[in-house]
Amino acid sequence: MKMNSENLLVGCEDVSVVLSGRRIVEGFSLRIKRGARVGFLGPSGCGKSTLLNLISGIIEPASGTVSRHLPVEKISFVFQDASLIPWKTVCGNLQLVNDLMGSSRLAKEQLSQRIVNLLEQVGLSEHLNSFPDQLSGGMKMRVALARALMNSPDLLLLDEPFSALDDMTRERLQDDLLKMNAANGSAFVMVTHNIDEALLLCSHICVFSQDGKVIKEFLFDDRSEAIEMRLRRESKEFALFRNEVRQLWNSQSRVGGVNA
Amino acid sequence: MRSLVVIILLLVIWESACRIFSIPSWLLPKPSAVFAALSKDVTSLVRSFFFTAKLTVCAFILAVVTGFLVGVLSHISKGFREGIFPFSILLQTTPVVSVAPLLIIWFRNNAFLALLACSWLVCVYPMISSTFAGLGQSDANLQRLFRLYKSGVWHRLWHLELPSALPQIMNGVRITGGLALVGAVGAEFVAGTGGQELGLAYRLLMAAYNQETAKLFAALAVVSAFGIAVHFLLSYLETAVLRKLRVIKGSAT
Repeated sequence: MKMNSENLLVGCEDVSVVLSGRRIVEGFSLRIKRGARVGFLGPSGCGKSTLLNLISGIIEPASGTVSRHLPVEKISFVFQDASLIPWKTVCGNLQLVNDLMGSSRLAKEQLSQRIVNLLEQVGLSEHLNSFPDQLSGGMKMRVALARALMNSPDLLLLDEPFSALDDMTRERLQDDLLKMNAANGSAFVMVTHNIDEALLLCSHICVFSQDGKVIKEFLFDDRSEAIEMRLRRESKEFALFRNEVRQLWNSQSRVGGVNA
Repeated sequence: MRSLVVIILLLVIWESACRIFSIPSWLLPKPSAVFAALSKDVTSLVRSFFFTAKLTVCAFILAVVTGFLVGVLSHISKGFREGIFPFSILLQTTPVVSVAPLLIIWFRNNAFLALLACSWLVCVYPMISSTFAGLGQSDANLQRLFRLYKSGVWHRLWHLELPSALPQIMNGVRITGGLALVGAVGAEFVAGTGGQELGLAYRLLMAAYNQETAKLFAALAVVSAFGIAVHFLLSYLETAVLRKLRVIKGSAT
């Protein structure tokens, strides 16, 4: 895919983040373009989730610049927990995002149609009126994914979205994510502890040290369709990358940096 | 049902012990004597009960409304929270006995208002702290989502924080209900009723003063029964509201 400056969604230049007097992230730079699949890989507490808050605009940097070339309504979040509202039905949980959209809210009929389409997409059509406590963990996560797609986001921010799921559900949702990326051309930034998941889903991986610095970046050939990334699992290239990341992590562990 | 069996069993043991050991009635009257006193004084006890119940309900409603409002305002305004904080500590630490004389002076023309103020002082703090603590415990991820889309304070409060806080708020309501009765009886003990209406605390005091222990137990039985009724009613309300709204402790699913 040919990229130019018009495709830039968010640009971070030499950014530092300080929270409660502690420097969480330092000297971070990243350009997120339309259709990008970016992965943040690193140990707990290294500032990966903070960076998602920074990219989305929830927090501002202590130094450096963050330029956003998309309205906030075109950004979505998926969290580690489904974080559904227990007193609302699946339909109500999806409506929530629309309620938060302000002026770009969908009209009632469009909204109903959109909810039906999204639930169909994630295979939960028959659960429109179910409450979260009537759904399994995987189903809740699919509702969370559908909720994140309510506003047709150009940028999807995923904070360890599949870490609490079983293998089968995780693979299905990973497939769903890649299909959506391929179909809509929306970009995503994913925080993960899982090296295989990052290599499988992302075309650009930033590996972080414990003190919030990027110690290595991997850029993969992005010419193939996103869905074909799954074929990489069995390839020699995949094994080499995985080995390289593991060695990097091990070297960090020896200097007391990585605890994952 | 089991509680009822235990109560009946205890009454039987109590009655038997009084008869077998010939315990004097001024020290520990037989349950049968207490029931006799209860039925003899039923008219005056009912009148006193209504007075105490009215005071309890008024103090409860006032405490729930004001406690809730102070809790909400403390949550949304840092300035208000910091300004009100010393007074919240005062409410928690100052014994009502020490404030009662002042309230009697202020409300010298209306004894009921003096008692209401005393009861309110006793029971308002749990409502403030429950509301404030509950509002700060909504799901952190949903907070991020609301902040991302620049949701307003009231919108966030109505759609996320208040429903999430309901388990704590309802818990506060239940505790406030129990304390409202404690406050009402305690207030009448220390402030009296200005010779107007007579509450259950007055019955307790008079029975103790005249060494009519059976009457004292009868008044005590009415206070206890009312306290249990308030507790169960508010517990039922708490369960019903939380079940209806599917609000489970821990907020988001």
